[in-house]
Amino acid sequence: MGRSPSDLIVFVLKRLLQLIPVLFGVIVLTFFFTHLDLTDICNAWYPHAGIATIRHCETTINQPIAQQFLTYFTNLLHGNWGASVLGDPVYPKIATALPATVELVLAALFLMVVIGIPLGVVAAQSGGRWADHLVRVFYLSGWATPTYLGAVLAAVFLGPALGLPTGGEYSTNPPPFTQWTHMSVLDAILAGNLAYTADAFAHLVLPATVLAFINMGIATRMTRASMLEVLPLDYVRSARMKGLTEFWVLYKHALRNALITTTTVLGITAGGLLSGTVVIEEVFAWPGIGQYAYASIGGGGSQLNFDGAIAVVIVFATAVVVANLIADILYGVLDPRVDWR
Amino acid sequence: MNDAPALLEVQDVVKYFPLTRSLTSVITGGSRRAVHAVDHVSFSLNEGETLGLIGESGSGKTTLGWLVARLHEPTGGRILFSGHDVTRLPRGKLRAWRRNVQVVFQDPVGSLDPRLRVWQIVGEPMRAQLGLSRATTRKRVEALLPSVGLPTDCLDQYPHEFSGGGRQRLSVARALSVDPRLIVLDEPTSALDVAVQAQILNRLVALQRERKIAYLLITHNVAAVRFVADRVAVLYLGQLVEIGGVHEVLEHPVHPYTKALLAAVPVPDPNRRRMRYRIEGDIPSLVDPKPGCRFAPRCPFVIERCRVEDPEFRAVPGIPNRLVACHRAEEVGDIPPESLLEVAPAVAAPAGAAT
Repeated sequence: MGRSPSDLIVFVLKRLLQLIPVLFGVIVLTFFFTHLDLTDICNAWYPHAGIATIRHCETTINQPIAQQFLTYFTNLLHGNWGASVLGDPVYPKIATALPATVELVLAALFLMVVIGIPLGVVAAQSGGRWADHLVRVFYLSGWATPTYLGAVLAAVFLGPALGLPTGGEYSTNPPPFTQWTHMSVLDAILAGNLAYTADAFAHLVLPATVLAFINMGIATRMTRASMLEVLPLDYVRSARMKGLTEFWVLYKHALRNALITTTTVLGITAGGLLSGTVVIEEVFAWPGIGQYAYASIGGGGSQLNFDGAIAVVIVFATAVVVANLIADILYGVLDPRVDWR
Repeated sequence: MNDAPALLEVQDVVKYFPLTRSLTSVITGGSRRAVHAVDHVSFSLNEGETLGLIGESGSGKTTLGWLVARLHEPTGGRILFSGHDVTRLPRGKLRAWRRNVQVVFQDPVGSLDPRLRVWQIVGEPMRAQLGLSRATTRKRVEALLPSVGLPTDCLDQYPHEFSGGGRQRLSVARALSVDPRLIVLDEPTSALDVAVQAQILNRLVALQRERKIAYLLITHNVAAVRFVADRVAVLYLGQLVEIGGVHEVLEHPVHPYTKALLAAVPVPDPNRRRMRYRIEGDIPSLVDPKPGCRFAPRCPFVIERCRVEDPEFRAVPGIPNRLVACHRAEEVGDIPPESLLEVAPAVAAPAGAAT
């Protein structure tokens, strides 16, 4: 085992193979949990669906559950993610919703990195003094804010006060260009539409800020803790002896080493964030996977959608595993002492 | 030697570390207590000379070394480098001055940034001080590595790929990279095995001959001091108790603490096993110490005066080039350290001086 690119490829392949049993377990569990539900889901569709659809629904539901699972699983293996009872296919929804959520999470992660990590450095540097306490108050208030409260307060007060839009991805929907990636800002840039880039960006600010504010504590806290571990080490002192400025000592030598831990934790957090945006997407009308998840389980007046719910859970599970994998890869990139294993 | 100022002149340097006050002390306006890590220490060091600084753990050796390297801010006193006061340098000048003094730290693991490669570790001082390009730095590092006994093909390796001795060689190379005039060696060999210790010390001596660097060798290894140092200073609880030529001090220690320290050095002689000398008494606290000689509570020669009056750090008549901080230096000076092993209380002071 070493650190050559071929070792890395073997490492990634191994980890991706581990994804298979994880996903199978996730699919089995969610399928049975949803289908063991006792609600009369077929009649719930009346009068949205015609009699024929409901009859078809009932014949499906009345099959043995193992039979239903086999049908669903075979379809899934063939790339068919199923559809709602009304016939809305699941896959196109996921394909457009997931990128929107990824965009939101990346924006929040960006804020956590550029604000949260320097705050952690400041806190560690002024350990125990007022700046440290101030930083702690800041991230703890984020950590202690319930998501629904933070999102609603931001949408009701902060948005109007700052003149920021509080819902959707663009001011006009759909935008006057093809959405190649379904990431609002990226699509506007790809279309070369400056006005819409700014518009999409403005729409992204509030939901991303709320998501970042609530989760900021992880970045700050981890950075502070690992900085405090690194700062008393002799190589930080010897960096000072070299005649480097205090900024370089702190940010190049100390922070680079402290970041190894922070990066790992942020990677794992990213996986959690992808599945943790349901409330924020709902409040800010962000057409992401969280919103689709909410709709699939019958939230907001929509109808229960088994195939959609299972698909969302599959995506969430994959996101967590992939985010962990990325965190592991980054850990190895950042720390030359790590072998790919 | 008197025409030019000494390379390093430490004048009455003090370093106190304030203790965190309890809430009651803050409310009642109690005094601020402090650990007196280095308490009024003065010595000087000439160009190309090695001063060994010995003392037991907690005596303030490292603090003193870091004060000299300006890693600590002194609470009081002055440090002159080539006659210039460096205790009050503004930041930018301090950074530029740092190329004169480098430090080799004790811990060969913690003192090298695990994420940098060899050429970056050794070359960074050059880049910071001289603004060299990447290519020049690599070339210079490559040229420097053989002088510390490392191969030139390890430029792109990481520190964790080296042994303890190899890492310490890297530390030495890093210190040498900016051609300093003084290197503070903070227990450079105490984490290494004996054979490697000898290699590193030999290398340091050779480098000193080639480059005329002064060393401040901080250690509790008396054998290393005997081998490397020209002069030796003995530190006890933050104060110098004795300073002088290395052979003179080690062969003929005057201060009772120096005697005790040397008597405690293990000697490979089976007959001496029974005669183990132990310094009796409590180690006084470094927090706001009481007046009087700090060694008094443990000293076999203590008299009443020792407990009330601080001994002056002074020359002793008849012993050239020696400063000693002991009221009874003249009386106890000739007692050999070995005699402390057996007869410690017998030479003790007149009545009234309890041990």
